[in-house]
Amino acid sequence: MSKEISFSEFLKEGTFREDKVARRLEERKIKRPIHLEAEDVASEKEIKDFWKVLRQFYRTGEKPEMHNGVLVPALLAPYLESGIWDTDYPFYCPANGESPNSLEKVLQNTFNLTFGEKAPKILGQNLPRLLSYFREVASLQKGSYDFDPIRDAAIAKLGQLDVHHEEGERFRKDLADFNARLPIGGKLYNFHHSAPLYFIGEHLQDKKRLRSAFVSAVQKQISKLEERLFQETEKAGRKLVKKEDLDFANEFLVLDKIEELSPKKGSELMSESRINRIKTLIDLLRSVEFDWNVEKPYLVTTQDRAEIHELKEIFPNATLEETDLKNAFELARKEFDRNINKFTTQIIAHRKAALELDDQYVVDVHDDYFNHLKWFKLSQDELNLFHPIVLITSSTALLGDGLSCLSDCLSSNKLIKVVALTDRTASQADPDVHWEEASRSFRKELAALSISHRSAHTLQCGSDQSKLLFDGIGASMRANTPSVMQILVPAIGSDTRINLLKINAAVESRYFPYLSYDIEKGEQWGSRFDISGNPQPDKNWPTYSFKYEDVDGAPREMQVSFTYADYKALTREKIDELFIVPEAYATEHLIPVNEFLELRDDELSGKVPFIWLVDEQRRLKRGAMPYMWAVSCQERLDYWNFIQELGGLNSYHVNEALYKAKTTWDAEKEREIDALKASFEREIAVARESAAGEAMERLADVLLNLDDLPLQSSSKVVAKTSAVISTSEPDTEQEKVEEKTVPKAASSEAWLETFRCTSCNDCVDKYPLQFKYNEDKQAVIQDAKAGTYANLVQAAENCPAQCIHPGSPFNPDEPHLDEWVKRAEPFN
Amino acid sequence: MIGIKADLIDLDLPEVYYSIQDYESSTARWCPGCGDHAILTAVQKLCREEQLPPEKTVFVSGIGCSSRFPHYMKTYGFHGLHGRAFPVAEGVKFRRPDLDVFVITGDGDCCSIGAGHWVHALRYNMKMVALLFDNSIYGLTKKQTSPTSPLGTSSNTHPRGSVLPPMNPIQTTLGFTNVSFVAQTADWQPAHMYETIKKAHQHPGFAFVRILQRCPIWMKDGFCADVGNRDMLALLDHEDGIEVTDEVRNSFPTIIKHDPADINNARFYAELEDQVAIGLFYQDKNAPRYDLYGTSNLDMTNDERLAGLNAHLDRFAI
Ligand SMILES: Cc1ncc(C[n+]2csc(CCOP(=O)(O)OP(=O)(O)O)c2C)c(N)n1
Ligand code: SF4
Ligand code: SF4
Ligand SMILES: [Mg+2]
Repeated sequence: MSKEISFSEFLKEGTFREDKVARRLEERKIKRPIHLEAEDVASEKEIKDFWKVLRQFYRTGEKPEMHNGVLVPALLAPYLESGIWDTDYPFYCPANGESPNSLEKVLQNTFNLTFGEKAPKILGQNLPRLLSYFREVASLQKGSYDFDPIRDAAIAKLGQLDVHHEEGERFRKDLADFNARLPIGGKLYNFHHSAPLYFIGEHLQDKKRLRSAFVSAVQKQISKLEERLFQETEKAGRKLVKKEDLDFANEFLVLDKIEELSPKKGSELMSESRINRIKTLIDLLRSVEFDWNVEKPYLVTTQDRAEIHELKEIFPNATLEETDLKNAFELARKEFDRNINKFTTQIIAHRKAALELDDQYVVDVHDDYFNHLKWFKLSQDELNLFHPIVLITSSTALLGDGLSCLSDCLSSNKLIKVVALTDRTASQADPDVHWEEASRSFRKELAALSISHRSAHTLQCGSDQSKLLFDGIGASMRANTPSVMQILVPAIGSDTRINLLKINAAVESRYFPYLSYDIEKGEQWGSRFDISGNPQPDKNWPTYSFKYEDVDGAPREMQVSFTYADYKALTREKIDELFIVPEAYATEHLIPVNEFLELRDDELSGKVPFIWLVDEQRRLKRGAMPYMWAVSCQERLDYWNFIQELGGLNSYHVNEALYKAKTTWDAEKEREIDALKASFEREIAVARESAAGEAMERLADVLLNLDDLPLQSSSKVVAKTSAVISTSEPDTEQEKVEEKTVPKAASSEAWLETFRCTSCNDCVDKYPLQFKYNEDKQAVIQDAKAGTYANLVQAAENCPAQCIHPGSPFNPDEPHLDEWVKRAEPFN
Repeated sequence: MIGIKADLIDLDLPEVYYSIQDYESSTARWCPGCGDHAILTAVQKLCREEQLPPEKTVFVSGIGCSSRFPHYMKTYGFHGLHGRAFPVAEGVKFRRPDLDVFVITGDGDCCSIGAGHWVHALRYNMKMVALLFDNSIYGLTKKQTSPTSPLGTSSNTHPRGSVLPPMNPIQTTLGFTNVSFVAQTADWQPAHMYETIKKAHQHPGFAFVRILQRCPIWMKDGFCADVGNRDMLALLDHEDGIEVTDEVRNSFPTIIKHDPADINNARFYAELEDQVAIGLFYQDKNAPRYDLYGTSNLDMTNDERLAGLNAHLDRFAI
């Protein structure tokens, strides 16, 4: 028996839908967009008094209220609140070293490759979901994963998506096709404090591949040289063919001619010295064969980083050394000197072998040349085979005691790659960061110091964008100069995702701008500097449009810059250094810091800079800052402008960008033109066919003696102009028609204008073998010949949309064909 | 910010994908060649394209051949009383604003017995799609003159031909207060019809679509005869109107540029002399909606409502 519920009880219990509505309303209350809150108007006097306090605060940093509560920079508020943000990790490196890329790109490229123009909708829509499955499996805890098991798991999970019927089959087939095109093997790398080291590991792997190719080339040389020596001993043992020896064949052969044919040059014996030379060469080349297979890359680390990274796991095939910074430089230098000389001799041996094999080795010239060939004179490709010495340490160590060692190292021009990792986002309490307090001092910039050693390759890069980092490290590792790579990595043990946001904010706020200086990049002014990895590199601060609701709930939008002050405000402790100005007191003297910094000196007086913040209730607030903050923003801006200048903005890069834009534009136009041509041709073909059809109709009308010709323009004109011509005209017209159309109508297949089908079920029900519905439930021809021609004609007659065209008969033995052909005429 | 983008794990992607078959219920029992088949397919296609969850979708109809529609959709449905589709649909929408509501009605159902509800449905402007299947005849009851039957139509009620001029449902709706979306299409123009219904579904308010519908059984000389006549239809075309491909657009010999914001021109094109215009006649996205009042009216908790109710009842306590 069902229980009776009274109305009031019903309400109290809260039914399903009441609950839902209530929940939604609740949500709506909380989920009010970021907004300005209405406030009481302040009197003139109140405003005046307030500004006295505010100006005092600007000068001294002193303020009445100590705590501001939870506030975040406005531009980051939506991310922080939703907890939703991500970058292009994981990064995929194929086993064969070919075109590593972010997994997202790999999936997208594979998708495009698999399906081309015919991208399937459901799978296309679900690529992001697939990526999220990959990420789920490759949780952020570990730095690297094997690709295969993760791919299999992610694909299997997506395969379980609830798609039905034909679409379901299609989806699963598409997924299988897609999966078959995905790469096999390789590794995935996460956003992780060791990501840069993993990337270095990948580049060392790359080098290994290059080196083994070189070893095979050397092996070939060895066998060729040995063959030469072998021929030599053969020759020495057996005398050349003499005329007398062949006397018995006098009658058949012209012996003089034979002598002419026998090899002249090769027949001369090699000099003893050359044989010895080749023998030494072979020995040297054998040492390449042996050494290069056992030689390992050499990495030396300082203790602070060695503790943090699982170096043995990251570089399983390297020699690892751990020591203090000074010693590390010393070891690196020694290792380099030791290796480079051997390396140079081996490369020279390879070159000599090539000359010997071509019989081009000229002792007088080449001996001297090779004796004086130093490693730095080797070609780029040759030097690329050298295992560089990698020194891993922290920026703090380098900027402290290590500075002179670093300077010596960079000036020496030895192929030592210095990796300076830093997890120091300004947020951490760090005695060094007190530079801000001393208002006119500047922060030491490792990248700038490195650039000042002119020939050192320099990279400064956050680790938030995998592709940028991977490519940056690659260029740095390949450079045939010393390198400095300063990379901002997440601090170990802290929340990885917060770190990702912080590192990104560090780059955006120009606190840690992206920068690469590559001496080999080219001669053009500014071309060696690349700062394109920064957001909006042509601007002082990156600027974004920001949406909020006005006091009266109206949607508004404004441009907000992400400045160094915003970056600082990302830290809980720093937020309290700001002074929150209620809206009622925000006069025109309160100015966004980016605009404030652009004011002329005479415009500054009385002004106070602020940044936009958002509190937990999504209220938009103005945080006024003290003088010290403005100074630190100015300092960052100075450094950024310095980098912009070095990057030669407005010259080389602008031209590059223009050129790129133009070429893509041109390519686009070309494609458009091609597409237009194609569609034009299609239209012509269709027009031809329909013209032929029309003409045929008219011909039939005439033959059947139907009263008048269809009102074609020509006949109309004729009738109007002259009665005399009109009698003869139709004949010629008729002939023309005949000529044009009769051969054309001879044979055509049945066809259906699917887009006009109204899904009336008629044809598919009556002739299911010949017609079927497509995915959109509109009819298509399944197999015209699976039934009779008569069927097709009847279907055409019955089709309410008149979109079936039976074409011409396909089986000459079908009975009453003449009649059916006639009945088909109106539909063809 | 450039480096940061939305986290994909929170993607708002459907977990289930519906295909046309997921919206198909029993086999449609309309006559062969009936225009209703085409409309059914267009609607099922819309459901599939928009991936409308069947359990969140309702088709409400009155009585007539056309009103059998809900039986053929595997969604919720309500086959109601003759002429009363609108009030039922309004009730559904008022209490369950989360549902997608479609009204299926015929020329008899809507313009004759249901005309009173029609007026107010337009004025209420609740978000729903209303499809008027206009075959200009009472089909189910085997041929009686309907308000839209052409003058002189011979039927069971007027064997010697109807004597009153037919009503023009487009002109009529354009005259109702608070009208916000009026469109016309034809069942034998599947591409145009699909796009029209889609546009109606996107409209934030009451979207009225009259569909010229063939009834080969009782009105063989009506629209059925027009299928092959390309000159009969004129296309209303505008960037804010019904979006069609060039292929479809070019199949119309007459194309009229018409801005759907312009109600006066809409009234003019509603009654062309020799042709019938199809396309979007009028749209106003900002017309007030009664269903919003309905939902915001609930902006109190159950306890609050109960207290209010009790306070009222207390006034009658002795
Ligand atoms: C209250 C009431 N009056 C009359 C009828 C009889 N009746 C059934 S259908 C119909 C007309 C339907 O015409 P229309 O709405 O154009 O639908 P169609 O069949 O043409 O699609 C009538 C009058 C009824 N079912 N209920
Ligand atoms: S008869 Fe014509 S309209 Fe009907 S299903 Fe076949 S092709 Fe479509
Ligand atoms: S009677 Fe007319 S409207 Fe009714 S199902 Fe048959 S064809 Fe369609
Ligand atoms: Mg009807």
